[in-house]
Amino acid sequence: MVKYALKRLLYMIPVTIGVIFVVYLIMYLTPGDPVALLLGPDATPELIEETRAALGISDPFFVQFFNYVINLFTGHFGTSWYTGNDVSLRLFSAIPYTLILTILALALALIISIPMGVIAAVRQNRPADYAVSLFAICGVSAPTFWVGIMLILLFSVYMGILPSAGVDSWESYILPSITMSFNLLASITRTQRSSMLEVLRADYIRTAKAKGVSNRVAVYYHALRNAIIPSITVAGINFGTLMGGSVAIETVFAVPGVGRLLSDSIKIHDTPTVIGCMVFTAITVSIVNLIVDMLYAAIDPRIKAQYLKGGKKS
Amino acid sequence: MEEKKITSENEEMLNIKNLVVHYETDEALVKAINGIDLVIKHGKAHGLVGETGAGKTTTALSILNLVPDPPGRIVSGEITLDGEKLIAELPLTNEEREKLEAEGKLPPCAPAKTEREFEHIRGDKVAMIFQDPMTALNPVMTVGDQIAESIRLHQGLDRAAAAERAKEMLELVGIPGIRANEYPHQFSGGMKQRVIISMALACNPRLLIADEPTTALDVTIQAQVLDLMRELRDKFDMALLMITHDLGIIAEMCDEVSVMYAGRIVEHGTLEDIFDNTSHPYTQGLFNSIPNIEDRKSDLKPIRGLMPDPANLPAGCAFCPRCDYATERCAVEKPEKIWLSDTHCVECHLYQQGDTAKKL
Amino acid sequence: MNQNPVNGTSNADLRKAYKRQSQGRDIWRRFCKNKMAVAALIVLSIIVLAACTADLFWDYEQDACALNISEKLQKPSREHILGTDELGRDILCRLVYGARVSLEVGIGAATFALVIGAILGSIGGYYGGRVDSIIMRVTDVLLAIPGLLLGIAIVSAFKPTVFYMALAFGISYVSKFTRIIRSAILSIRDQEYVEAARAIGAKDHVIILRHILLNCMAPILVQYALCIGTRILSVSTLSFIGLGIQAPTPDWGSMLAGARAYIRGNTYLVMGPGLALLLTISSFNIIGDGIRDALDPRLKK
Repeated sequence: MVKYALKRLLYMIPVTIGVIFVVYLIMYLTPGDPVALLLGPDATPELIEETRAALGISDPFFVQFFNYVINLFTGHFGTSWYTGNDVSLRLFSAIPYTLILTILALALALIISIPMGVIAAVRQNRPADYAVSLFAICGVSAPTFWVGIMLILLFSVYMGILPSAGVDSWESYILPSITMSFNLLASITRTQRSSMLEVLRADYIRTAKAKGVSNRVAVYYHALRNAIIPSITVAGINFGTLMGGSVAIETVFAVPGVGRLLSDSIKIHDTPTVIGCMVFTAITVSIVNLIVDMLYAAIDPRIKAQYLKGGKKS
Repeated sequence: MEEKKITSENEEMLNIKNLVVHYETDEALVKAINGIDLVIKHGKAHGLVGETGAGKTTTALSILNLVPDPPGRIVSGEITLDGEKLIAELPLTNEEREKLEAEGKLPPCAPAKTEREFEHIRGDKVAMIFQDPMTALNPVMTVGDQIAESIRLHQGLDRAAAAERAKEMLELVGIPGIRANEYPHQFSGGMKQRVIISMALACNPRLLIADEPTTALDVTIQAQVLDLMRELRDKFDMALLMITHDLGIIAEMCDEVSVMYAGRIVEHGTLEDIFDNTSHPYTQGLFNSIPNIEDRKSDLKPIRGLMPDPANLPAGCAFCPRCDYATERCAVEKPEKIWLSDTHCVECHLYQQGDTAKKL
Repeated sequence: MNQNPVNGTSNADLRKAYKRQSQGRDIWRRFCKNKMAVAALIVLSIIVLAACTADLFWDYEQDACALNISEKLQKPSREHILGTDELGRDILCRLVYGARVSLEVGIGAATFALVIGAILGSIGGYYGGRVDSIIMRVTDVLLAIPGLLLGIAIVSAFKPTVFYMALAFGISYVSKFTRIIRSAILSIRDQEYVEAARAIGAKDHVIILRHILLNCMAPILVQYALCIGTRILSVSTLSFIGLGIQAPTPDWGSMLAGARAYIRGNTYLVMGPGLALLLTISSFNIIGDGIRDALDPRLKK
């Protein structure tokens, strides 16, 4: 098991390098001269030349890329074209906010969606099911930033009970994390409902009932453990979307997180910071997917056996 | 192991009377079972034979009140288990009864026990073995836990004692007790079916329903599993409802046989009645479809055509379109039950009340 | 195999084609029974129709783009059914023109993703081996970057035009189509009719296109509908944070961004674009669901 986890961890390295390559390539193609940005219009040609060399942007693409990856392994994300400092300074101060939000959102989504999906499946084609399904379809379709605005309108403007922006107190995390979890919550609910419907028809549920297991135990003990696996998959896959959504949500709620840093940096063409934010996000997504894989093994002995055999997941 | 006492003087373990089960979907009304009677005496083995889709599994699920609802519904009839009503017709006044009869409707019925009481019966007094061992076990629970669950539910043992009993049960079906901690995917098909059998027998049931227990297995494994079942049945002295489409298994295991076709029991009798005095053309067809071991070159004579769509049954005898003996009357009139002897009855227009069996 | 002399297809092929056709009709019939799906289809048709015929009612430059400060922030009235925005433009007019951008980018992105995904997926699934594993690694990399962020990066590197946005948001969905198509192909690659087609000497790409793609059409169609929905969502997010469609071109996301400062007292400003997004995206999602349910009636009751 540990061996498999290590293997997956190693596999993350080429994927991450691939991600950096893609991002780096895109940003390399971005027009705009960072030196002019840094030094202003009055700089002498010598100074410009000097700065170019210091930033390493006169090197060929592959040299730049190679240097970047090497630096990354020592924790350096390059020099910001905007502040002239190491990107990690701003990035690391932004990360906690985003992490708190995503973890809250993920937890909220899982805690609410799984029972909702189960209830909808158990009461298939009854009012509770229709209500959950309608909520879920709206949830996956609603733009999160709009949901955020509506929540601000309701809780901050009209009711005045929650702060609409900033990160000054724990209350200010409530609305952003609800907003952030909205899409994920809805899509897990949908998955949980349909996988539960499938599992409830499975032969082994009939076997369980035939040996006298009550309906409640059959649903919550026998069926749920099987039906939860697709939901975890969806949580893993959509975790990236969740992280991506932080760009808009952090704008709406004025949270100084990675998403906000990213969109600000793009607007001012601060390429190293943009790359740093993207790399951070990609690594987080990869780690979450690794955790998801480990969770499968904990839930499903068949998958665990596959991992132990060293076989790859199909 | 405590011996469960027979709760009534009644010698019948199971009595099904006039059972009708429908599956109601948006698209169609599927008449899965159309009025069957079935009696199993204590300790006897009863075979229920017929093609896929004849309603055999639905019959079995009705006994446990596990017909999936929706879309399934037990429409009418009575099921009595060891003298206790499981499914009972609702009490009707004579007026209501006449009114229903005039409308050609059947008297409605309802479960006579609460869901909780059914839970106590399932797995304890009546146990069931399902057709496909590959999917019948919960993939995320150890087999030991799955067997122990039933023991804990019905015998009130604590976790450790139940686990111990589960190991004993595994040993009983020829699996080393140490494998109780393994998961279903670590067992072969035959082994899984053994696990399922041990699970079914864990609480010493009085009636075992075996729904095609060997269909999904290799032929050599089939024989092993059947031997095991026979041995255990003698040991535990329980009644058996053996559902199969294989007449060979019936001959080997059963005392009485009911032949089912399109939701009706078209012929019923002792093993000798059915095998030596085959009376219904459909039963005859079933026999003709098995290879003859004495004359391997002889042609198989499969029954022509397919079973009618249970959502759209013919007006007369359901077997009429496929029957070599069909007359005009068969197409329009449903045959009634004709007793050919005390033990042998048939639903076919070839016979009249008072006839004795004639070999077709 | 019986060869049809006229067009070179076998009788078995014709039968299969016929079966597919009648299956298609069956699926359509089941789809029509799903009230939600039909409603979504109608809503979507209205939105598409409105976007196409907008020029009959409004003048694009005059009504949707030009500033009209004297009429700013008017509440809904007879003249302006949904009111006017912070720059005095009619909200309904901008909503209708905004639908154009959303639909163009959504459909463009989904089509781009489908085409590239189909090509990569068929190559990987059909030939297997090293080609396949390279393609799968590439999709791994693309899956590790959140689609929205990848889109943002690409759009900022090029220009936020409809074309580049479709490209940028299509790329992040390529992996999904690649995987669907690859696994569909893996599951039917060795089935008899493909073998049979190979046996009568059909060329490789003919086999891929004719037999395999036509047969895994259904899950692709579902994914395509869902993809359009999510791409519209991404585009609006991009415009919302100010990196997408640039002013004064009307876009639902940027309309919400502009309205955000005025929501106190002007709730109507955010209702229109928000509901338009919700309706459009959920229509695509419901239609996708409807197709899936129609394909697999077992899931419903």
